[in-house]
Amino acid sequence: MDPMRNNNSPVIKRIAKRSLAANRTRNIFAICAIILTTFMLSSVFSIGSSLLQNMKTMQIRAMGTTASVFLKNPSESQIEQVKKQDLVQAAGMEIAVGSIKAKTASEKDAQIAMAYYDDTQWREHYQPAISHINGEYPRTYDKIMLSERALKQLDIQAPKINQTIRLTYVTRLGTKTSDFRLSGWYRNYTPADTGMALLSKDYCLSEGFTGQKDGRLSISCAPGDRLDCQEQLNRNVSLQKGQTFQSSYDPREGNSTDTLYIAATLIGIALFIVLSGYLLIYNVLYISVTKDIRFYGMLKTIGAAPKQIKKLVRSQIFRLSAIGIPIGILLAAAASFIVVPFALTLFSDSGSSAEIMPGDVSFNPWIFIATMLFSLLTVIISCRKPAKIAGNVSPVEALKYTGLSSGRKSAKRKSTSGGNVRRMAFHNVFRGKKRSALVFASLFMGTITFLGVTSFIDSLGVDQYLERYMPNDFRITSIPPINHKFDEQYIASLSKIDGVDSMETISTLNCDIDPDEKTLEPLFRSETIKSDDGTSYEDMAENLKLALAEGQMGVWIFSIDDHYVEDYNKSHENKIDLAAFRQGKLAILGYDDGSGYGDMLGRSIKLSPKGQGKYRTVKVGGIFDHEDCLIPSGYGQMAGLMDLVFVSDAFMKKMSPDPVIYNITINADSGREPYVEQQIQKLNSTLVDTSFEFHFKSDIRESFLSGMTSMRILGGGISIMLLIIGVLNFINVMLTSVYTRRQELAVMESVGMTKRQIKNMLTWEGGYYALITTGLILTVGNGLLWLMSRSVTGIADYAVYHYPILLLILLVQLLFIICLLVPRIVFRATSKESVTERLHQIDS
Amino acid sequence: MRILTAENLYKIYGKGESEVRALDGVSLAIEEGEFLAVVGTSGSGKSTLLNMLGGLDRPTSGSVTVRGKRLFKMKDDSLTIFRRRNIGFVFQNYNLVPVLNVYENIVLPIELDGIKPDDTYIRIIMDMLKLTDKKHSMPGNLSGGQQQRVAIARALSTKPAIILADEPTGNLDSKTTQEVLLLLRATSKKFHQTIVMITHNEEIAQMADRIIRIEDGKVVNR
Repeated sequence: MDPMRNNNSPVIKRIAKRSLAANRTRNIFAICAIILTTFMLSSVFSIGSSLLQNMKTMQIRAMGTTASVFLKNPSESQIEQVKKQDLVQAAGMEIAVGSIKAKTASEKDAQIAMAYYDDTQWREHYQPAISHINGEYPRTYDKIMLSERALKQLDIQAPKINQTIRLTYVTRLGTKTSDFRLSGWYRNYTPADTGMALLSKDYCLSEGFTGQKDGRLSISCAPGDRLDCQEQLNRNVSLQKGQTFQSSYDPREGNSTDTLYIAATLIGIALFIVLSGYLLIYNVLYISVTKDIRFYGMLKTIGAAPKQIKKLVRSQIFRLSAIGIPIGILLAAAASFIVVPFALTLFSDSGSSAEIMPGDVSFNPWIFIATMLFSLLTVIISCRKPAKIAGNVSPVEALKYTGLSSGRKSAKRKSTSGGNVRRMAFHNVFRGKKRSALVFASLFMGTITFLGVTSFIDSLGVDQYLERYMPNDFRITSIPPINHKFDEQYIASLSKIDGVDSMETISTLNCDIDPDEKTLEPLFRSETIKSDDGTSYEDMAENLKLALAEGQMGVWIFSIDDHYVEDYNKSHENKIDLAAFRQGKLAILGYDDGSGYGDMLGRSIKLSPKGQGKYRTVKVGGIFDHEDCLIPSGYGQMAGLMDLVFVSDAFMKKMSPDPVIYNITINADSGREPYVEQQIQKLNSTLVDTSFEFHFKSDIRESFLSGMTSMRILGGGISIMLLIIGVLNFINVMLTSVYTRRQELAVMESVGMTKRQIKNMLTWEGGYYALITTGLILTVGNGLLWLMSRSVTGIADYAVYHYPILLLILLVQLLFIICLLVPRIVFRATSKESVTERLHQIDS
Repeated sequence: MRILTAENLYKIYGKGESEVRALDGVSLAIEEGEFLAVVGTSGSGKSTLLNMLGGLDRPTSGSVTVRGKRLFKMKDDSLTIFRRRNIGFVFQNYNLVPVLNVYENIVLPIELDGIKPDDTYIRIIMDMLKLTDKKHSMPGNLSGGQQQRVAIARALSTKPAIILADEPTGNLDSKTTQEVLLLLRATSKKFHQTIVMITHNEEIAQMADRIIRIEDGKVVNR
C-alpha cells in the first residue's frame, strides 16, 4: 500500500463544511450563478427541442399525411410486394368514394370529399397530421366521421356522437341520399379548405369500392430514405401500364437542413450559455479564492498538500452545485411547463383557433439529464483554475498575494506617458491576455447571439410572408378551372370605391402551342430526362408533338402589368426588353425550375387560342421565377410543356377580344383599408356567381400570426434569455475587473490619485471594453450575420433578412452604459473604507 | 522652520471594553530638512501615527498641520490632491503600479496633477538613486531594493514638504537595507528634504537626526 496515502477526507470535509458556512455571501453568489446557468441551459434546451418538434408536427399537418410515395389502383399482389420491401415503413390504402353535395350557410357549394382509409392509413399516416380527435373511426356501414371543416360547411355547430346526419352525395355510381350516424370528428390542417368525410370498410365493401378500382396506396418510407425507397419499389414491384410510383416531399425527412440549422443554432446558444456560466462561476470563485488566499497559505504552513487544498475548493463548489443545479432545473421546468404554456394561451386568440403549429412543450427527461451534465461540466471547468491557485500558493507568498501581475511578457516598455489616466486605462484593458480575451469573447458573443437569434426570427415575420404571398391589400381570384368571368360592372364598381389607390387585373387564356420540334427541342429533351423511364428522346418527342397537335397539351397565358418586368430588370443582370414586351413581341416563361427553359431564350414559339388554330409568333424574352410574379397554384398545372407564359396586355388583346379576367388585385390608400374592405364585402354579397375567392391582407396577416404564435413566443423567450445572460455577463465581468484590483486602486489613491481620477480611469477602461467590443461586432459579428442572412431563405421561401440596425444601436448603447457605469459603481461600493484600511488588506 | 505640527492626536477603535487606543494624545513638531525616526514595537501605534501625519487616515480627534494647512479640515478629494503635492510616501511593500514602467511610476503623482514633469530634476533623482538604466523596466522585473528606490524616487518627484516612510527597509536584506538608508539620508541632506521614517529597529533609527519613541499610542521621550 502506498505509504503516503492516509485517510484525511474527513478532515477535508470538515474544513470544507466550516469554511463554506463562513462564506455566506460568496455562497449565495455562487449558488445564484449555478442556478442561473442551469436554468438557462435547460430552458433553452427544452424550449428549443419543443420548437423543433412543433415545427415537424406543423409540416406533417400541412402535408396531411406522413406518407410520401403513392401508387394508384394497386392490385393485391402489388400491395403484397410493396409491403415486402425493407425500406417501406408502412403502406396504407385510401379509397376516394365521392363528394358530398350540400349548400353552406352562406349559400355556397360545400366542398367535402368522401373517402375510406384502412387501418394502417388511418393510424400511421393520417392521425399524426390531425388533432382534436373525438370519437373513433367508423366501423359499420352507416357510420361517418367528419373533419371540423366538413362540420362547418354542413353547419353542424354542436356535433354529438351517434347523431344522425342526412347527406346527399355523388359517387361514380350516381347521386344518392342517405342517413349516416356520426362516429367522430377531428381537426385537420391541410391548406385547402376542403372538408373530409370518412367512411367505414363495410360501406366500401357493400357498395363495391375497391383499392384496385378507386384507391391509392400510400407508402411511408424509413426516415431519410425516400429516394432509395422509391428506387427499391420501382425495381421490385411490377407495375401495370400507366401506373407509376408518385412521390411527394416527406415532411419527416424533410427539412433535414432546417433541423440542422436549428440544431446548430441551439448548440451555439448552449455553448454560449456554458461560457457565460463558466465566467459567472469562475469569477465568483476566483474572487473568493483570492480573498481567502491567506487561509489557504495558512493551511499549507500547517501541512496541507496542494491536492488536499484543491479538493477542499472543489468539494465546496460541489456542495453548492448540489443546491444550485436542482433549483435551476426546477425553475426551468416551471418556466417550460407553466410560464410558456400560459404565455401561449395568453397570446393565441381564444385558444381554440386552428393553429397548425402546436404550442406544446414536451417533457423529455434526457434534456434535464443533459442539462445537469452540462451544468456540472461548467462548474468543474470553472473551479479548476481557482483551485489550482489555492493549491499552488506558497505559504509565504500567500501573505503577499494580491492576485495581480503586470501580465506583460516584455519586461520593458518605452513610454513616458503612462501616468496619463487614459493611457493607464488602456494598458489595464490588455493586462491579462487571457482575461481580456474572455471578456471580449463574452461581451461579443452575448451581443451577437442575441442579434442573430432575434433578427433570424424577425426574418420569418409576417411582413416578409405578406410581401411574398400577399403584396396587395385585396385579391379576388376565380377558382379553377377557369370558366367564370367577372362581370364588367363588378369590376367597374370595384374601381369606383372611395379609397382605392390602385387596381390591377390579370387575364388569362388557354392556348395551344404549335408542335414544332425544332423550336421546342430543349423542352422535349428535359421531358425525356424527367420521365426517367427509359423512353428515348425520339419517342418522347413524337408523343409530345402528338399531344400538342391534338390539344391534349397546352399552356395558359397570363397578361401582366409592365411593372413586373420593370421590377425584374431592377434585380437581374439579364434584362428583358420592356418596349418589345409591351408591344407584344416578347413573352416570358414561368417558372424556372432549371429544366430547359434557359435554352428556350430567343426562340420564337407560336401560340393560338385553344382550338382556333390562329397561331401568333412571340419570342421568348425572359424567364420568371416564383418571386417575380406569383400566379396562385391551381393554374399551369395542366399537363404542359411550360408551366405558364406571361404576355403583355397588347399581346393578349391580339389573341382574344375578351380573355378571362381571373385575378383582381387592389391596393387601398394607407389607413383606409378597413373601409375599402367593408365596401368590397358589400359588393361581393351582390355577386350571384360564387366561384370566386376573396383574399384580404388583414385576414392573411391574422391567420399567419396566430399560426406563428408559438414560434414567436418560444423564439422570443430564447432571445430574452440570451439578452439577460449577456447583460449579466457584462456586469459580472466589469464587476470582477474592478473588485480584484481594489487594493491596487488603494495604492493609487495613496500616492495621490483622487477618487475622481480613479473613477475616470475606470470609466475609460469600460469605454475601451465597449469600444473594442463594438469594433468586433461591426467586423467579425457582421460577417457572422451575413452568413446567417444567406441561410434564412433555406428555412422558409418567404424569409427576408433585414440587418438589425436599430437593435444593434440599442445594444451598443446598453453595452456602453453598462461598461461606463458599472466600474464606477463597484469602485464606490468597495472604496468606502479608508485608504489605510484598504492598503492594510495587502499589508497584514 | 516648522513644516509639520501634530496636536493631541487620538485614534480610538471600538467602544467600552473592547476599546483600543491606537493613538493616545500624541503631539509633535517637525522642522524642515529634518530626518526623523519613529521607533516602537509592533502594535505601538507608530504606523497609525504615520498614516495620520500623511492624511491617509483620519484621527478620532486632534489636528495635523502641514505647511500651515489643517489636513483634516479638507474634503477627501482635495486632501488627496494636497497629499500628492506635499507628502511623499514610501511603503514597506513598495506599492508600485504594476502596469507602469519605472519612469511612469516615478512621475505618476506629477502627471496625476496634469503637470508636465521637470525632466532635469527627475533625471537628477534617478541618477542619484541609480535607476537611470532601469528607466523602462516594469516593476515586476526589479529586485526589492530596486523597487524601493523607485518608490523613494516617486516620493521625491513632487518635491513634497515631507516624506513619510513606513518601515522602508522591512522587506530588504541587510546589505540592501544599508544602501537604501544611506540613499535616504543623502537625499534628505542634498534636497533639504524632511523625512519621517518608521522602524522597529533601533540600529536603523540611529541613522536619523532625531528619534521619537512610541509605546501604547503615546510618545515616551524625545
